[in-house]
Amino acid sequence: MSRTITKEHAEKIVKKLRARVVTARAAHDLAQVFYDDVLIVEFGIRRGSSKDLGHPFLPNDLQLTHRQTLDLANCPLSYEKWVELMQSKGLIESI
Amino acid sequence: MASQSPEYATRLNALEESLRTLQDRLEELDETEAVTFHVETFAPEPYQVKRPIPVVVHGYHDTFTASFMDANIHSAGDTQQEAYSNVKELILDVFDSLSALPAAQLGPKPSKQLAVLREFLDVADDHERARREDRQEAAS
Repeated sequence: MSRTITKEHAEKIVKKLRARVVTARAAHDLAQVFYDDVLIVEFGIRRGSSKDLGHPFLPNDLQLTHRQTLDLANCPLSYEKWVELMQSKGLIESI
Repeated sequence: MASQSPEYATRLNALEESLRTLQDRLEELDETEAVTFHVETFAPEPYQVKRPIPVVVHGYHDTFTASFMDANIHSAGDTQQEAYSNVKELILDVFDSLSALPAAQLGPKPSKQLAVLREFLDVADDHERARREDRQEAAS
């Protein structure tokens, strides 16, 4: 299985994290991930028809490792687990 | 059969983990040397650069990535030039989107990003004046 992070992965992550996608300038859309109405992370999604368009920068944007990013897109890493991870990094306030 | 024993499964999992780690390492080694450029202008966009913005560009498989590390803003492109242009646009998109939100809606990472961005760029005065006038007009 390819370990390259692509636009397809980015789009799956948008759905999983219930991100709001805002149309930006020519090259990107901007995905914003909110939790409790607070913006936690945002990332660019390259425009283009190919699902294979490389998005190697996603782990940095999402504050995850390469593997966690793929796991988030491909299901093993759940939304709840992502919230826990962000809380452990201090990016989401723990209750 | 030995291949069905829990011990065998554990060893297989460990082997798989090692292989993944090696793959990660190989991917890191596949990157080409990084080059740093500095954004000096956003013309014709109405923004002024307070001080040059460092952008690191490097090859990664068939793609080039470009990063403004201090603000944690990253993009990519098929060529070095495309990656650089894309991250320039994204810097403005992130600046606009974060500036448009009330401070209470910014988490720790976006708050820091905006603070860094404000150190490096600003909306051009005449553009800001026009935006203020638009807002006043809309309010009246």
